[in-house]
Amino acid sequence: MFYFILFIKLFLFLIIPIYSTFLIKRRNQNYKKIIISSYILWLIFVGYLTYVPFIFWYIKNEVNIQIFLPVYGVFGIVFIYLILPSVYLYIIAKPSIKKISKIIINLIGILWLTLSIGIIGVIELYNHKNTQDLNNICYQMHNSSDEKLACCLKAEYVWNEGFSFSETPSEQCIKYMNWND
Amino acid sequence: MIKILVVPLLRNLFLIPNTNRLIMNKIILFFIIQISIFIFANPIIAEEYRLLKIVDGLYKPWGLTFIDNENALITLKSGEIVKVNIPDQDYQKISHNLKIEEYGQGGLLDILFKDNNVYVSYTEKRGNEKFSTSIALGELSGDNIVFDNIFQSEPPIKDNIHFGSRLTIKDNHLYASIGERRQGIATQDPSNHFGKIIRINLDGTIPLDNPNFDNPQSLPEVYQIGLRNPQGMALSPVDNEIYITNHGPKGGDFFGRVIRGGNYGWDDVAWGGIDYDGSIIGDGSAWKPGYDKPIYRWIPSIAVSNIVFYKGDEFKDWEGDVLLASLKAQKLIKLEYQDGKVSNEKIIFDKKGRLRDVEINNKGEIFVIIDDANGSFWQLKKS
Repeated sequence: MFYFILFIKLFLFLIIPIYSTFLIKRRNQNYKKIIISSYILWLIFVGYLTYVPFIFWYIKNEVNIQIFLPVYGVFGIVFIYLILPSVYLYIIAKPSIKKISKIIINLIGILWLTLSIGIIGVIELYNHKNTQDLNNICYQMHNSSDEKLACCLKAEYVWNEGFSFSETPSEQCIKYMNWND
Repeated sequence: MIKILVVPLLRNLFLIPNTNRLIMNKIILFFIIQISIFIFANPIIAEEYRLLKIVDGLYKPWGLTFIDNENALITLKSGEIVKVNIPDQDYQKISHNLKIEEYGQGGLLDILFKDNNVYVSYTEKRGNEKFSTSIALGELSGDNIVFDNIFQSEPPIKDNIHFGSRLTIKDNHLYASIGERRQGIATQDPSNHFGKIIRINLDGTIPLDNPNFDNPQSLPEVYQIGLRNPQGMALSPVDNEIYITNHGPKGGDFFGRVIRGGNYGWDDVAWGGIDYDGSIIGDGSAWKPGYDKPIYRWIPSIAVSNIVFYKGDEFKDWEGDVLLASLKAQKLIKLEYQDGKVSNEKIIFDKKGRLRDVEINNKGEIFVIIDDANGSFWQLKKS
């Protein structure tokens, strides 16, 4: 399931700008709103894929993470990714542009997207591996009952002697969180 | 002003009939006064307790110490020291000779006043962009202090986090907590100062009875090893022991005792925490035999900052309890601690800002500082 969702995420990341570019080539004014909307959607998606995990860590955890990424970092990421649709909307769409320039811009675009997919994919796979390691602790150390195991698999913090949640745990799970006793 | 401008405006706005205007005027005035009190009044109202603002406009205040019951010294991370007169709710700058720059989590950090001597811990630049936690001692003379270094942590490195840096005095010895500067397992090596509690004499010389950890390379100041970022330290008036708080990773903040020759185990163990990227630290153990065991832990982390043991008359019921400031959770927490065990955890107040330090004066009055670019200094009062 994880790999399926990851595939969908990366596919959308790749296909939205490529599809928009194909629409640009048709030079039809009716497509303009769709193109701009799809690029905006794509930028939001980029923001979600790249920045949200950092914000999540900042809110959920200790305070140090802002040192690595400033609060305005999301604008930086979106700005970087804004370059690509800007180039396509305002350069490729011009009828006067030479064929060789189009090929170079297309190659840069594909390279840009491929590199981004690689980075996002590796981060997602790394996070997935970490989650699996935590789940393995649950299966090995906290499997005394199905209920306890289910709680552990849902927990964000897992260690050999216990587990915990970012938010207030459910009634069923709270009784297993007695590590200070 | 309110009566002339606001009341007619509201009256016209709601088109109130003439007959009801007198009653309506009183109601509106009542609400305006109540809202004004709520917005502009100095104290923040809590349920059982309130906070009285002493001063604000302090740039990232970090450490607090009392000269006497009416005057306190506060360090600002940027390198300044200010002397606050509590009754006057005013402060003045104290000049000094230390050249300090803010460096990530570093800068001018803790401060401790004793017998007209002032101890500060700070992030010292030691050439080639390398920094270390250092301690300096000076004498307060009017509004000036001339400091001399009495300790430099080794080795200086290029990393701007986890400086630790709390100071406490017990039996003519100065104890300081030194952070691990993101060096992980190096905290297990007593031949450096990463993640250590150090113990020196008040003049900076080294006592002869510090432990050697069965290691001839052990640095003579090292008293306890295996910490991550200990940012709280206090002497208990009940058992005359020193206690610390330590920032765990993602989870695993703890309150524990300073033990001669002890080892809290970082980063072979992580006290129940995991790494920020979600990976397991060590083999996933919170504790292993042979390591010192924390007394009380928080998972998830609350970002524990300084602690103080309550002693005084103003909050008589709290005698011997631990007051603990937290940054991320923005809470002042009271731990009921007796015989090595925490029996209850109570939130005194929360959501007022990132609490960097909590201290009490000789009268038992409780004060906190809020760490912010517009930081502030407050007194806790009963409602």
